[in-house]
Amino acid sequence: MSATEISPSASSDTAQRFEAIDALLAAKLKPLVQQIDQEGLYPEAVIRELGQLGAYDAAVTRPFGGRETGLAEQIDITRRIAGYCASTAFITWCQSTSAWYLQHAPNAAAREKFLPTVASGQLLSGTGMSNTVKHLADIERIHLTATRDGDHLIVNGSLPWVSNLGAGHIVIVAARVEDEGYAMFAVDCDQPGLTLKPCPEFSGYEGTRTFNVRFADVQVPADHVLAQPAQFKEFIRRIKPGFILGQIGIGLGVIDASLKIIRDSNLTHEHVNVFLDDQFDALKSELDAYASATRNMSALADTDQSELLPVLQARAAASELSLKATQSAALHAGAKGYLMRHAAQRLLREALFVAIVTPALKHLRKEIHALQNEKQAA
Amino acid sequence: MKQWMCAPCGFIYDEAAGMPEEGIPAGTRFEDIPDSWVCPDCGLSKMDFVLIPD
Repeated sequence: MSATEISPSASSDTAQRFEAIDALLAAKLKPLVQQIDQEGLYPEAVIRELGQLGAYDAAVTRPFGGRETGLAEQIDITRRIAGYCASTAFITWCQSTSAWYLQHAPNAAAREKFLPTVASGQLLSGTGMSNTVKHLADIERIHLTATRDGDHLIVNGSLPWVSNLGAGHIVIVAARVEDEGYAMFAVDCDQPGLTLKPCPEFSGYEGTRTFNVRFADVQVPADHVLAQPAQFKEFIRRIKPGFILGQIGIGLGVIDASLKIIRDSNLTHEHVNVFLDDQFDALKSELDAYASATRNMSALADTDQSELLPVLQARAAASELSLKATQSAALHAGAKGYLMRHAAQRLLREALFVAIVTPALKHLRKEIHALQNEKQAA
Repeated sequence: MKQWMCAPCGFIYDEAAGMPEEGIPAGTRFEDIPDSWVCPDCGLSKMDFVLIPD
């Protein structure tokens, strides 16, 4: 099923919402895509309006203002947005994944404080968990440390690159708390001691308000803590599948857009495009298989029945297929696809991001290797 | 003179050039930079830098 179709089992509410989101994307996001990609425009008005249409709340329960329709629907929404602009889909992932963390946070105070406004897009949120996820996979050292001062945590350190930040936003991060372990918490971007420093220019996704985040004795009150050290391990286990599966939506949308280029290119050049590898039908068939598997795994993540290995494998496959499909789209387009104005150029960079954003393809393969070894040893 | 790379962000400190804009004169060896110095691009510490082989 492509992202533009609606499952026959989808409720009329979902169908209406998808219709409204599609209309917004066509009318307001599509005209901005070049500016987002080339000039680093952060499409805040569209992001806010998407929130009003329920673009971040599918996996959020009703008491917190969510629709409770599940992670699969959230991924479908991210996919629809990525079909136009993967940068904006990444912001959607930041927002909906922040909501996913808060939804499952053991600390009810943090959930109540932040979840309703994050889910609705009124409060914009970045997720700065890349370093922690890499640290837990033995890839790099933890970059944030915290000490206790009464009920507060005092946080120091730096995170190289975190997206969807700005005045009035929050960022959700984790730090090592002395010898207790790790805590995960939300920080207001305007808080004293927290500095958002511009990054060197990236080759894509410049419209995501990505900053180097520096912490100098930043105070974190208890009601900002999603999980304390004693709760952290179980919390990460609970949220990790949703964190990873959510990103697949970006890849699926990038592949949808690549297939469109291939199809359009074949209108005039099929007689020669037929000699290329990775044809439309083969890519579409792989896409449909991964989309279907992702949907099934998302239902398991909703109810905390995920098995991590297939989740990691699906995420790796989404990276690989994104790279293959965008390369094929550029080759199908030919010389005109080499023009900077052509969508194939943007898609190549968007797909590369899917493969390098945490968990990057190399990181996924490392974790897959470790889990497969564990299974064999058992 | 050697070059050192910040492993997380890829920033390169070139001993020959130094960083005069940060008060580090040309020719300053990496070991002689104060330990409190952080990568100007990502804010991580000297311990995150690796020596680039010649």
